Amino acid sequence: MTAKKIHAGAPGLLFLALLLLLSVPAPLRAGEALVSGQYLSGTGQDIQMRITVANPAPTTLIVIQNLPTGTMIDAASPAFNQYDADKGEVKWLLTQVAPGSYTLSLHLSRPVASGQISGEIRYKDPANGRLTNLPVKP
Amino acid sequence: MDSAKPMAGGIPMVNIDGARIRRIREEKGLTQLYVATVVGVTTDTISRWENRRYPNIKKENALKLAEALEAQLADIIDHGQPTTVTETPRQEDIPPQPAVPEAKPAPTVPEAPPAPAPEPDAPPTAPAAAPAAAPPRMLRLASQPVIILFAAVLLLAFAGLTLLWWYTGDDGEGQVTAVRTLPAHATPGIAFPVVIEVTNSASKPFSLILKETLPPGCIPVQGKPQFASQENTPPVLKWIGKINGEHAVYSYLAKLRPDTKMETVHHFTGGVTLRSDDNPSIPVSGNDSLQASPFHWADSNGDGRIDDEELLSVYETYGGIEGLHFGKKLIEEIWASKGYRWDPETRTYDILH
Repeated sequence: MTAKKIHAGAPGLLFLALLLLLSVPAPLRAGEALVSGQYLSGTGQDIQMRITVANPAPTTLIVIQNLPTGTMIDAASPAFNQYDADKGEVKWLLTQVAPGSYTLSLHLSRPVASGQISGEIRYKDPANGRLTNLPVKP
Repeated sequence: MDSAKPMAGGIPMVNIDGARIRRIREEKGLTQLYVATVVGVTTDTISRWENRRYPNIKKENALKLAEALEAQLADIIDHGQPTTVTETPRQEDIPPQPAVPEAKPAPTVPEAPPAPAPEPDAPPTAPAAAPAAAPPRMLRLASQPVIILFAAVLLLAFAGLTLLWWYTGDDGEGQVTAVRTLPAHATPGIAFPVVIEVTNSASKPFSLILKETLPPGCIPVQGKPQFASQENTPPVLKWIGKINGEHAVYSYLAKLRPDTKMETVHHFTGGVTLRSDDNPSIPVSGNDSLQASPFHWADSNGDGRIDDEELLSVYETYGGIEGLHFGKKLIEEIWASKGYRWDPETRTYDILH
């Protein structure tokens, strides 16, 4: 009788243990990006890139926007830190980054066609300190 | 209202209560080493103070002693015997002299306080007699199987908890490590940052003293948090702190003397003393040497420019330390440029655009 009771309760206990394991909040799953980027506008005179940062956030990001060489920039928000017109490379340095979304905008002197631009986000993974280069395509 | 009294030479002296000092120290779990380090004397001196060999000490030292014991000065003063000093009063702070009349060294003095007189209300010390004296009603109850079973379960639970505490618990300090992050090189006269991260596997707060000895040719510039004391040759930085979480970060800026020869290597040493650990000191591991170089400390590969990875490394390592002025502006300026060159005449970097 006692043995029967034990056997009857065992699956229940196993189920309970499984339920407890599954209910434990998991950290960031493998493959889930800490940082992601997408173009809100990738053609014409206005280029906009949105960057989304997850938790735990890298403290610093370098965002690179590649433009056709010789492109003139009329305005930028926020202001960029570097622009090499010969290479068509714009760089922003974003420090004290918190989890959330950030939008970077450029207003160009002449429109660019789709496929003429590309972006890249560089950061150090806070978990292992490794440099990550994340390409962003329009 | 303390019992300070100026002695010959105008140095204020106080009589301290050695037994009380020992009691406070032991109650707070402080080691003689910790107290000695805070006060700035040897452990032998602390031992002598506690054993009342030198009850009359400088007021300045008594104040430091009170601070180390986290007590008030009034708590450690011997109010009962303010003027019954028999030893030479102005020799108390210095390490033991050969001329001291007592030939026996301090370690022979018993560590435990003098045996107290038996307390009048002390509990009886004859447990064997207790069962015999137990009333018959208790025996009747104990004979009931349910009660016995309940008692056995309680006993087992208690034993289990004790074992659990024994294996998993700690007395406040777990594995403590201290790691220094230091650039591989720096230009003489240009400040560079140093970070020492202390981590502890236990979660209970604990006090520590972190001592960092800089190379002789190095000048401390700024500390975050501010270091408590600084000696000159070689410069020694000291922090006395309490860690509330699992880790704490101590950082400072220093620079090599402007006349330091290029390519010379300079060594850093440090140690952590815990307040209730008998180990003498936990050495600071990590980087311990820095070379004098015409390259900026943030240009870790010494190629005359600061690239994206170097910039990100600088921000990841030092950017989060609030108020540490390690020269972000110059680093960003070099990063945004084509490179830089050290000008030994002007002792500045020429930025190449």
